[in-house]
Amino acid sequence: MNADETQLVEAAKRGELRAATELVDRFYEALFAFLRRLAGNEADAADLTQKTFARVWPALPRFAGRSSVSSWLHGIAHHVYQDWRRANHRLEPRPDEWWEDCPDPRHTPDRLAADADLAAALYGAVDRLEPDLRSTVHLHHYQGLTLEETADALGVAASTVKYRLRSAVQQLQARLAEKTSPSSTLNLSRKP
Amino acid sequence: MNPSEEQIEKTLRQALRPRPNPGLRRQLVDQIQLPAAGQTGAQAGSFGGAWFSRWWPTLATCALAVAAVVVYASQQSEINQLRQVIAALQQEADVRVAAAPAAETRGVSTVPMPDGAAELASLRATAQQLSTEIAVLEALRTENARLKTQTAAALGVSAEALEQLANAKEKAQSIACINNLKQLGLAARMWATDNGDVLPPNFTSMSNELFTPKVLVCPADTARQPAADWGSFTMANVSYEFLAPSGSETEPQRVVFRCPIHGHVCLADGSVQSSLAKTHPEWFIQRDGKLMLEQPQMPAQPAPTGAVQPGQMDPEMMKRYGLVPAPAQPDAAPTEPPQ
Repeated sequence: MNADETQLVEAAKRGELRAATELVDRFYEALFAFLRRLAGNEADAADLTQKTFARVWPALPRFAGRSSVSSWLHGIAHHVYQDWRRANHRLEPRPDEWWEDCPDPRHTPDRLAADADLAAALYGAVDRLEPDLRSTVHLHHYQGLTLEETADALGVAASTVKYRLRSAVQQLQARLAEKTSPSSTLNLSRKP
Repeated sequence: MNPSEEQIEKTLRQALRPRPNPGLRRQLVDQIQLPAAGQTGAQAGSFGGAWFSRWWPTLATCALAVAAVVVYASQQSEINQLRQVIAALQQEADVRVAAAPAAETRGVSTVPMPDGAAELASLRATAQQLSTEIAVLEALRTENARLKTQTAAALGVSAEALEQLANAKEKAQSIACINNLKQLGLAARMWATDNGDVLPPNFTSMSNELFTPKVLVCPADTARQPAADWGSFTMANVSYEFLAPSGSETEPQRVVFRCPIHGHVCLADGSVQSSLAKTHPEWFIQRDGKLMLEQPQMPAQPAPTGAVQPGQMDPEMMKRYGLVPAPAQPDAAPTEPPQ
């Protein structure tokens, strides 16, 4: 647990606006990215990010420090996303190809085309996972939370997170293998 | 495309991060609404706050333990008080027991009886009530005698004749009762003959053997009315007691029916004994739950000279048939049997 972040929360509890602003600066991009991947579009993600922070400020006095600030905020964001999804009857995910809109500064233009194909197929397959598995993958792999932080954010046990991650990886592996199976190749070759 | 698990996890960790609109930060900062300074989690919580939600299992356990200790202490206190009361009562009882023999020897009760006065008053009230009832009975008896005299005068007969009339009526009713019991006994034996020597279980079972249920009511029983037929028969139409339902017919001395008014009993052999239940109740013995009649053995009375004993042949007839040897006649020829 980051003591600095906890001190920021304590300062915000005391009403220090500068500490609250610092909390926004540290976490709003990560929360936006998390919600952007889940919600599927920019406008909804920005709206959900605002709703998340609107819930954070009244909940500050209830933050007891049993989990990290990051997992606490991600937990609130996850609840906000679930409420929004239920309210909009979006029980089935509508994945968009968010990764195509994001410039990747880490890779050079000579990145192998095979890696790009794998990443695109993989991210698409993640968005088609079951909601529980998808949220777990987003928090742990995309957001970089530890197992314990992911468990705190989702309100489940760490062993459950491990099980979900294991299931998710196996399902992703199976789906990617299906995509390149001979039958699918044969079907593609029969297209006019 | 068949990536390994490590490759999948590595690719997922290297996922691109969508960037927010630059204006989002300003909006978020502008919307900051911090709670009032000094507000604690307990005040903000909807159910006692985080502190309570964290510690309530421990608090509940402690409260339960304290409650148990309090209950245990109060029970111990009550038990001690009761022990003291018991000890005091025991001491008082010992004092009374010690004082009682001395009072008996003097003939005076030194130990006050708490309920003695109330019991004495109750007994006096009972005695007063009984005296009043006796006086009423005496008045009724006098009135009865006067009415009898008036009735006899009106009928033109004497009081003694009226008394004899009443006695004759009672005797007639007693004879009719015996007749009823005879019929009941006969019906029961008939039923038993058809059912393996077992007596009937109730009166209704003998409906085929009894011509009418009217014989089930004693003529002297004014409280009961005989049933017109077996269809309207109930146990309210019976005066007699059935003392051997489903009993064995092979116990001849067992009492089967009894009239509670006259005391007549009908035995399992079908015989009816008149008024024995009233005149000799000691002859009836309960044996294995069965009421048996056991008459004491009377000493044999010597028969008067010349009288004929029952079951014994006339001596002259015995001589005639050669059952009694004739006195010895030394010179006489033996008697020839008649040809």
